[in-house]
Amino acid sequence: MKLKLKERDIFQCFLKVFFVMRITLFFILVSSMFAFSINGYSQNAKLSLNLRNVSVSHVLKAIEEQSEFIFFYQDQQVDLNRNINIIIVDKPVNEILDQLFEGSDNVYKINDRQIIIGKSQELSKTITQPVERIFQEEVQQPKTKTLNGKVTDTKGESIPGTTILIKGTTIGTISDIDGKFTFNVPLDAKTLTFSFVGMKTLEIQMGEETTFTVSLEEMTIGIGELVVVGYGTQKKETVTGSVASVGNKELLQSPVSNISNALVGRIVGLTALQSSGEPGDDAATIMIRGVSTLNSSGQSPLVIIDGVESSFSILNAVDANEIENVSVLKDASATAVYGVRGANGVIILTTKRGKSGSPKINFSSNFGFTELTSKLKMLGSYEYAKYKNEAIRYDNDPSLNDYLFTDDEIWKFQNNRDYTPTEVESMNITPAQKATLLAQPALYYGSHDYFEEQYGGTAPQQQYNLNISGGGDRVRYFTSLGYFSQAGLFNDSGYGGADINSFYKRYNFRSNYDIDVTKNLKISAGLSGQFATNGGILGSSADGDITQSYSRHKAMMVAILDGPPYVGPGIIDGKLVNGYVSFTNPLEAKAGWGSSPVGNLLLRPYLTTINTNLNANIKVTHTLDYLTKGLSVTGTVSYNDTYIKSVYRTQPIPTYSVTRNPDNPSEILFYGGSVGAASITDNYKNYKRRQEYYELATNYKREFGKHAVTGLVLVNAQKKYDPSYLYNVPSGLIGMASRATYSFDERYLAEVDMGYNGSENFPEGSRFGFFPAFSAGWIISNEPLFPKSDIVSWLKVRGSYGEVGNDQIGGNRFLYLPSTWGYGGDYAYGGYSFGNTNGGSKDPFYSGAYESTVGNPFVTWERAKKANIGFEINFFKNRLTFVGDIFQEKRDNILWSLGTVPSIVGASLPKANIGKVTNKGYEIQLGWNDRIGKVAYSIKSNVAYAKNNIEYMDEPAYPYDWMNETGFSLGQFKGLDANGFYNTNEEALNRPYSNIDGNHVQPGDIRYTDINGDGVIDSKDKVPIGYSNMPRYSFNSTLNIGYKGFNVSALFIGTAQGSFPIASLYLLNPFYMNAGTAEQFQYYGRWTPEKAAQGIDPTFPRASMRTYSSQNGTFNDLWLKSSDFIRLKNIEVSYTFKNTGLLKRAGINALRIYCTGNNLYTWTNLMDGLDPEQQNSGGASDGYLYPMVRTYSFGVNIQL
Amino acid sequence: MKTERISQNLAITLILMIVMSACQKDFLEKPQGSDTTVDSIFSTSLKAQSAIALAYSQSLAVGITLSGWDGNRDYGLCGGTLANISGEVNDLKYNWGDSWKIQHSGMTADDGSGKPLSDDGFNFNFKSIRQNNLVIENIDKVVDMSAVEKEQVKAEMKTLIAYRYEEMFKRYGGVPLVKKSLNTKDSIKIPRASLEQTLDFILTLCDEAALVLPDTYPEKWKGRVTKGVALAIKAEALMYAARPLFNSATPYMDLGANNNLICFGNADPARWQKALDANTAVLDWTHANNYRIITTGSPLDDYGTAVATPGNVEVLLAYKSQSAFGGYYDQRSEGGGSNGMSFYQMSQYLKADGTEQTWPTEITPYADYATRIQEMEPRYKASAGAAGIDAWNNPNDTEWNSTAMSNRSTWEGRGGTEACGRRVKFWYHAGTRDWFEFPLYRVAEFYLNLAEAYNELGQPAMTQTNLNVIRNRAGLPNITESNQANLRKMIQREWAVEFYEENHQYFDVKHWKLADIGNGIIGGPKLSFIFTYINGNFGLVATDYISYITQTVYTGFWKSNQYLTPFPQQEINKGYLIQNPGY
Repeated sequence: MKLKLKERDIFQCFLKVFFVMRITLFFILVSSMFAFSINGYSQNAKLSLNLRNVSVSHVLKAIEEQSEFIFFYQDQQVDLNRNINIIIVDKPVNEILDQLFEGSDNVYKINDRQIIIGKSQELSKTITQPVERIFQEEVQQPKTKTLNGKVTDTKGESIPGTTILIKGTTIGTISDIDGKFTFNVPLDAKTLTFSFVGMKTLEIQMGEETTFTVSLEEMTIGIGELVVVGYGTQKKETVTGSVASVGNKELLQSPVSNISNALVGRIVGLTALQSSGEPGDDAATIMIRGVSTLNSSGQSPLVIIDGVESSFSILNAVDANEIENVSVLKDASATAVYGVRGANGVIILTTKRGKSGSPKINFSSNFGFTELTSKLKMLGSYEYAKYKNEAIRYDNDPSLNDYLFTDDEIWKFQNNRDYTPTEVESMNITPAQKATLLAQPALYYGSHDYFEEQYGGTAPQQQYNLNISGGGDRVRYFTSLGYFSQAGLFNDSGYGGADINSFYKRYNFRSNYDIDVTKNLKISAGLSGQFATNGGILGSSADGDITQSYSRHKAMMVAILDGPPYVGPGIIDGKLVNGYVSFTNPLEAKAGWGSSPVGNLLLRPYLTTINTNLNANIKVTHTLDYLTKGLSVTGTVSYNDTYIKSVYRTQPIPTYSVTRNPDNPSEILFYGGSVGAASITDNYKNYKRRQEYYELATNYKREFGKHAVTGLVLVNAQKKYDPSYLYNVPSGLIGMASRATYSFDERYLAEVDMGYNGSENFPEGSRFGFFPAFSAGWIISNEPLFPKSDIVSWLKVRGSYGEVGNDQIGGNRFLYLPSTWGYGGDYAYGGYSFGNTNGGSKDPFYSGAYESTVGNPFVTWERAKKANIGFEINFFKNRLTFVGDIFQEKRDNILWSLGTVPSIVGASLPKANIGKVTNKGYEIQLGWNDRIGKVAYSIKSNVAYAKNNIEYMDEPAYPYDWMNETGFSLGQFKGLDANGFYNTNEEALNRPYSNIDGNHVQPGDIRYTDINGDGVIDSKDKVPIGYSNMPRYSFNSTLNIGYKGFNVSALFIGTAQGSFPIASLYLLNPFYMNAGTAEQFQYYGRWTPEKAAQGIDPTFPRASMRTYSSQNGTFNDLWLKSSDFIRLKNIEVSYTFKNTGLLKRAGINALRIYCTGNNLYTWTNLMDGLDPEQQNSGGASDGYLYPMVRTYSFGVNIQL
Repeated sequence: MKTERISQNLAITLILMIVMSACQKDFLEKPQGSDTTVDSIFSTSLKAQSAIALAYSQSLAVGITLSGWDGNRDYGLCGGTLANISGEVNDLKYNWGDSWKIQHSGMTADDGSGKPLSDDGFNFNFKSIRQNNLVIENIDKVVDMSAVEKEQVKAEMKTLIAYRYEEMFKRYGGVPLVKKSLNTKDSIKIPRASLEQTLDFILTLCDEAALVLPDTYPEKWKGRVTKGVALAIKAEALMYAARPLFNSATPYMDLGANNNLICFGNADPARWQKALDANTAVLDWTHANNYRIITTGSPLDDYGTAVATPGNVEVLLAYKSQSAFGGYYDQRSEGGGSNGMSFYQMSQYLKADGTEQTWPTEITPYADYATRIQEMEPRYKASAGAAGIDAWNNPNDTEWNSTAMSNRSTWEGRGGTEACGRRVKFWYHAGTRDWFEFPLYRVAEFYLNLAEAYNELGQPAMTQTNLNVIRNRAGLPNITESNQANLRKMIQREWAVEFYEENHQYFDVKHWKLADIGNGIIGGPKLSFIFTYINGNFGLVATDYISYITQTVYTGFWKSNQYLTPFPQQEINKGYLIQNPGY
């Protein structure tokens, strides 16, 4: 498939076209608010014909070609073969037609671009000027009758927009918003047809009656519906790949800022893991059908917005109101056209477009507030002190004795006093002062729940959207304007103008136009923008990139976690205390430093990031019916520009040192409070990304009797420019895709797909990959022999197999380049000084040169081989629906480190395409919908299961199978098998030797199983425990109940077989670094001899100053929590006011009010403070969390 | 009609494909050829100098804690120095640091997270050796360097390899011998060489290098390895070969058929003779090249200068990384300031008059401490800052007075950081300077080597001569002891005092197989001075102190497997290494 043709490159001309299109687009935008409705085309369109001795049909064809007129006639009524001469210059069409039909018995009627030709027995003899006459005649002699009626579905809901036609004619109408219709029909009309997308077309033989109340039956769900697939759409019923989609309505039910969170629970086989609940940083990581690759940076699906590759960051900034639907492509058949990018699945977002009709104005608004779903439960000072004393005693380490709390101190914590009555009594102060002091809350010995103090409140959220859509015959438009804002949850953020709360604000606009330029030329243009601003505190540079989640979340949490509950008093009397006056605090040596978490937060530098994303695309479709019927070509140009700039600021705030007056301890003295200058760094980060995309496609679609064929051949090219790219080389992608489908009688379906593309990240000569896929389907219920019954109304099987690639292989770009050297190196080891200084000054420093990257000239993409089999069965007139899919994927060529290379090589040898992973699973979707009386209800439940298995990753030969990662799922946790606790000295002495922590084991420590039976507890005893962080099962269930205008919709989600580790730093380790906080689950769950004696099972080992990196801290199944949960994710209660009189007078077509709750209630065994949807990333398992939020929201939706 | 359509489709397909291939060149760009490759580094001597600088920086870093926090343990011990695990410094605080964990729980091949917890960054040894080999293999490509210079660079690199192997030799015993930069094509699973082979490899490298290396360098290039350094590495390697841990018929723990990896298999006094010869050669060379023991008659200043002043005449080789040290050697930071000298180390020092000092085991007034501590010999005063007393080695410097030292060791409050002496050794007259050059080979070492070798060979007179060179410089009187066993103890004590914190004690006590290694030196009860303060204050100045006492502050860990360092479990799993016994 490799081509080496020396052609003049057309890149430049592509660019020129592109710039012209941009200008065009601009003008289109300027004229955007106008709706075009061209009237009088027939008068204005001037035609010229010069035809001699040609047939009538030839003339009609010539008119069609020159203009946009389309003729409708029945062959037997018009003498098409009659030869005539016709010479016309610049005349309207009626003059041509008059000339054409002069002397014949045909009359015609012009209805804008449609011209109907027929016979009028009564009129043919007299009419010479037909059109007006016909109407006159009709008015004078009513030969028609008026029909009226109403169309509903089987549940009695009216169906607006039903097409009602007299069969065999073009006479017809469309039902209105209430499903009602009225129109005139000829007296001889015999059969009425009612058709509506998704409903079975109904034919009614007319008798004398003129009023029809018709109830349309739903087709098999989705029949007639179009599904967005790669580079096109397909009829849902004939799709052979595995595709799922979700519409605008469901997405809007979730009051969340971004689409990835709105998708949660809406699509079977889609897993979402959230990293935080912080505004602007709360997007979920989405995986489709789990994970099939070892490399953690290449697990994301491809995102396509309106046909063009995009990114999750842009997807997440789209206003849900702008979205028509989101399609998720899962199997090879659906994704092969994306070739080297498709292996992780594809998410296609399609935005709304206008439909012909009068302008529809939609306004929606909602507002609400957020709060945490779950909070860490911290231990108060009194329990903390007792717990710590217990720990020091158990540890039996004299060096820790300085940290013991005295009984007096414990009394003070318990009573929130700084002095015991005895101490007060012995003071040389007045009795009044003594009384004050006795009653005064503690300054030093307080007890704070800093987590609650920091995160305990609520924060507002609001969203507005206004969109207008409509269009005339030639131009259709959709324009939307949106606003979203969400505030952060930090309390006291306003202190001293610190203003460090996180926030997210976004403006959206989108305008989509479809212009029928001529009959066979259509231009679709779209322009959209997302303007988001978000702000949040910055992390510490000691923890890596200060703008990244890890360091930021650490900065939010670390002060809460690394100090005891009395570390500092926080804000007293409106003054932020950030320390005690020079060592006056009696608890100084016990970590009562005086600085408090709120101070840490308020004093952090703050970054405001403005993210502007503009997108323009133009698509030109030219139908080539004149060459071959069903053939069209489409060219697409798209341009995306993202501009990110951020402002770094430090806002100094007044902070105070505090102490009790040594002469009168009842008086609290504050010192400090001066405020320095604020500092602002504009353009702290400032970069532009842009992306160009070009596509040229040929589509073919035609039916030959029972044979339906479609074909697609497409080339595309894409280039992304980003200053952060390695070597600043833009990232290009070029390729082609094609698809052919065949359907016989909608019974037998077959499809062939292929993608062929490549990028510069792979070595020349092997840049391009070819990815084919095949699929087939059989709609058994369409077989003539299939028994028609109400029990099984639809039965389809489908299967697919193919290959797809993944070019996000991890590591740097251009891995194929030869080995390179770099200057510098790690820290102090990166160079050396030579010279003869005696210490007075430094010698010259010579920067080092080191071998940096060793190249791999054979680097290539990952390859996925995917198979999918699906069943679709509907029962009981489609009330019960079932879709089942089983899939299997084999991924190979995964770029992975050679794990068996000894370190004595002294260099990191390049990664190679050696990894292999398989992924298997199934998806089941069950739906039931019915009504009880006037209550309509539906339940849809999905289950998805995906389990991967590492087949190969070049691991050393371990002595035991369980030590390998190979053969287990990705991210499978491994740890020691905890088997209760040692309850007595005897038990602790009579045990296997422990290689961990120098064999220090005592009662209250965790008992581990010596798995391999060698008498030693060591790393050889680490076995698979729990699962991986990514759950294998995910379920969701949607419940909808409608009664009149009321609607209740609820979404439950859940996962199973997932694990969350709490094995590190603060979550596991009370008193970390001798000073850290302790949590309630540790204290109340801990082992004590009393519990042991009473036979109570502890959930935490004995108190110790060093749970971390000790026997007890070694990862074991006690530190791995099941993240299984069921959550009432979303509930929406709404009421729709239908076209009532009052509203009508106000000009409102529809009004809907609703309230929504998100993340409402969760059933989980996970400890407080951790959210089961939370991902173990960004330091979450260390306790560095901005927890998930719950949202309550109220809204209104008005349609004008 | 049908064929027409097919041909149309084909034509369109073809056009599209042509367009695609035409765009390919423009679209799929490649980075411009500006990459630094091995050939560009080794093109000019100036650029090659960078590779050489890195070779020095990496090769000589062993055992020196430079990083503030080396979380991956790339370079070795994280959060502490070798002195913290050798018995010289008590590791009381920082219970999350490696040195604390090793002091309390010993070394392991796998600390639970898959990384070893040990005194060495095993993998980094070979990273630095690879750098040396790359320089050796590529230096000939440099165009503007004479053949003589190139040979000299190669000899320098060999010396650095020998240094690194000598460091591994004393830690691990026999290790894999990597003689070139390895590629995947090579047989890369090189097993451990025997102890003998490893020693021979080091000696061969030193001998080869010594033939080529210069005796001195121009001022600009001071700090590079001289012939004397090659001789010194050889001398040190032979000392460890002669000491009882390796020079024995049976190893410290049985490794069965692989005992030759950790033991020579016989106790041969001839090894002491070789060591003696090699050390004599070093001293001969130093005499000829103006390196000497600094003796100006002011012992505190002489010793202070010798161990701390960059570029002094006593130091043959120092680690010349002049970036700020991570703080673990610096009393002025919490890392170095929160833990102080152990009582074991304290008790190695004599009084300035050469007699023993005694310390109370009962609570005793601070005044007693102030008196006794002032009686200590100059090397104590040059190495430690005492409680409530300004540092002797930085007199009249507010940066180093008692208050400043106390305030800077504030981690977790300030109590107990004085121990038996704050850590000030490498900062003689340093003022505000925040870096020093860690001395790797100091002339004093070879006198003590000779004393030890002569004593083991039963020559007390020569033993005394060499030992007294060191004692005299410290202002201590000559010794006249001639009993071999007594002399051995005195030599060992002299090592402990003279080379406090200089990365000797950790290996010495193991290779001497001291009886008390598990009972007070590395393992067992760890003692320290504990002070009490007026009004619960901390000791900023002498008047803050009430009393002191010597008592156990924690229990150190010792087990026989700790004689040698574990190889990382990850490497053992790859199947080419045999683990040292007991891990």
